[in-house]
Amino acid sequence: MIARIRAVTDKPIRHLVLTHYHAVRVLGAAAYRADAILASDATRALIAERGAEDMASEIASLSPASFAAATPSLASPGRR
Amino acid sequence: MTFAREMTLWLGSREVRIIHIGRAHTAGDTVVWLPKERVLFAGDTVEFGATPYCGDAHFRDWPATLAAIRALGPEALVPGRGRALTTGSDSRLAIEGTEAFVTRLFALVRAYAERGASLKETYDAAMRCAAARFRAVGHLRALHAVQRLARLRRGDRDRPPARLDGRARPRAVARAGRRDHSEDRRGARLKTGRLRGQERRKRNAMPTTYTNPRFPFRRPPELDGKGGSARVVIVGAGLVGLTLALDLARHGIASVVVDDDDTVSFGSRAICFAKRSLEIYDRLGLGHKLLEKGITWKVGKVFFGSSLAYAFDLLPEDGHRMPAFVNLQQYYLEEWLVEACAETGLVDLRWKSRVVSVDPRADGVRLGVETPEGAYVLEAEWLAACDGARSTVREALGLPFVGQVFRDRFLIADVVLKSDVPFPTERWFWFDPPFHPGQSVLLHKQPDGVWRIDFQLGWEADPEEEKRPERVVPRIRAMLGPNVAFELEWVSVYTFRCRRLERFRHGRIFFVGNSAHQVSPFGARGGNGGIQDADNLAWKLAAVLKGTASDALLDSYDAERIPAADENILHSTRATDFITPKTEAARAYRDAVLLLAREHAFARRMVNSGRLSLPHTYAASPLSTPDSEAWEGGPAPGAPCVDAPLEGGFLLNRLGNEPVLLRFGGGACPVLPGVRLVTVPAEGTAAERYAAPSGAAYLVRPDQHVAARFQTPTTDRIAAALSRLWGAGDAAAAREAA
Repeated sequence: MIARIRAVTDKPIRHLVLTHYHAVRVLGAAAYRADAILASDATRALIAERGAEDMASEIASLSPASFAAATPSLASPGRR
Repeated sequence: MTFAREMTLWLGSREVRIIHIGRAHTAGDTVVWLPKERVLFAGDTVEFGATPYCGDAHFRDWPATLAAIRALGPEALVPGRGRALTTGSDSRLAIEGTEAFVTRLFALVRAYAERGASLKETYDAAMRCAAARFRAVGHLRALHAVQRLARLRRGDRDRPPARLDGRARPRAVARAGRRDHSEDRRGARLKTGRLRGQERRKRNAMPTTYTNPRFPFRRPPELDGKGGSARVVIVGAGLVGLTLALDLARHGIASVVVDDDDTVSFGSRAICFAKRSLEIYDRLGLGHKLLEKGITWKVGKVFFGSSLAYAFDLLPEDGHRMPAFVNLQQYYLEEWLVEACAETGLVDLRWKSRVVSVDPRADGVRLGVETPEGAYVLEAEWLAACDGARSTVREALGLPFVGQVFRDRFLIADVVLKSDVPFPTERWFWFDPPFHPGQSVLLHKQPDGVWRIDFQLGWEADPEEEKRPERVVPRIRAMLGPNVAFELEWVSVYTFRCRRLERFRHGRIFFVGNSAHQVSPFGARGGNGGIQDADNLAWKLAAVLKGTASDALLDSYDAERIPAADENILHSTRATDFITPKTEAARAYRDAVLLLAREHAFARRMVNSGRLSLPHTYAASPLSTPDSEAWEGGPAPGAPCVDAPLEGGFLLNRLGNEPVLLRFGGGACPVLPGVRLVTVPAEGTAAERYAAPSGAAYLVRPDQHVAARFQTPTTDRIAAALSRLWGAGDAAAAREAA
């Protein structure tokens, strides 16, 4: 994702918006090294409530094939 | 950093609004909106070319959230899945596509949950619906919504949308165990399901707007050693048998009608009487009653999903005494027929008289009849089997059907609506409506505030289970909404066949109506077809009994009514194939046609919710004399006469049940014995509808079909056509040629 952004712009990534709590969207947020990660109160509450469970579920569903490509596959299973 | 509803970032002079726009894909959905650039980052609230994941969805809120997104008016939209959309119209397309998926799926799952369907049933239905409707989305994720339902039932996680779990859970769980045995149970039911007569009545007895009359058994002379013979015996005092008896009586022919019951038809049967049938009853003297009591309609509407595909008008021109259709419960018409038969003094109507043996002979038929006071033998010169789809006479003769059984089930619910009715007096047909997803629904209005609703159930439905009010009421409530009060009048589940006997005449025995042929209900061709059989047979049998025609005339009953039955079977089979597609390809075709029909006239012709009953033209009949002049329109030989307004009345009322020479304009005209002359003006609507130049004449049959027509009528030509009409066949044609 960062590589894609870098193909368009070299500006710093200062803000990251989490559109919703799903692990496939939220996990890895730290990798952007943004100044601020923005989320609605409801999304933050859901991350707090379900984040751990969601992460476990996503990791359990990963297969070695998921790592075969250099970038995560858009078709990987799990919630989007 | 978090926010409750919304926050704004300024990146230099660029305004970036970050909005928790409402619940949709999850409870906390957030979009990013650039108002000046009109660019929206939608997250997973909007997907494009991909199925929305609904496992955490808030189905009830999602459409409103999408409306809010749409209201922003994005000119570019980045969906959660699928390519970035760079125009306003593409953006709207993505929003609408997402909304369609979400609302349809929710409606389907809710409908199934509310009627206590099992998770598996719901899942299968959702997948069928999704496969049929959203093929384009690639990987189907409809199951996620169902998985969510499963989680809710386990009590996991957040509160479910209202009513989705609480009501469905206990019953669904209870049912899940039982479904395993459904095949066995259905098999057992099929055997016990073939209840006849009284038994069946007890189970379904609930009409509230009508009470069946009970006609007394009268001891026939045969039980006291008298009588014992009849010129015509009609088996079955149903719609068709009574019509035939009355028609014969109007020709002065007496008949004996035997029926194993003591009342008119019970519950919901034929309801749609087509124009041609109404004209037949007008000839028999009952037309005004049908018009007074019946519900007249001519407009039909076809819906696909929740929107109108198209509307049609079955009788767009004025100047006809009879409308395109009248809806009426069959029992009313049968009651009037019983009264009218009694008034003629020619119909010996014998209730509680069951035919137990049929012995066909060269000069008649010997019948065994059983009554509450004993059995007797009745010798009939001619026998008309009007005893319905399970004809005793047909079984006695061991005659097989040729045709097809359809693997689908339909629920009939007759409903009395107690509050303001949200429907006009029109025929409404839904393909795949939100309140009955994946199936079809047909709605008709009847007298007495009764509405007929047909729900397609699919072959897997359990007919006994589906008849239970606990199952039926939620289906109707889903359709009518929560504020319409109603009462169930009648519920039954049916399957149907499209088939016929190879021949309808077997020596001295005629099969008339459902005993000869059966069709699906789409198009109202069962009852109307039977009435038209009777109309075709009565005058021929009367003529033979009076000695004005030979036995050969009766063969034309086969020659004319078999092609008519084939036409009805063809239309009804095609309609059934369209309504209940058998393959994915057929379904894809159907859905494409329905979508196109909204905008394009050509596609409307391909929509088939039932081609509504039209009379058959006896084009190839041996009784018809082919045209020998060029006609530009008008009813061709074999076609039924067309009605037209005349001073002080209507044209069809001027015809009768004898041969008529219908003359356009005055002047000298050949007069033949046995033919009544009816002269109408050479100018005007009648002449236009008959494409008749001044001096032209139509020779009209006793059943008001056209036998022949002449622009220059001569005695010889009319005599030849008349001879042919009475069954002299090719001999007359040969004489005419000579």
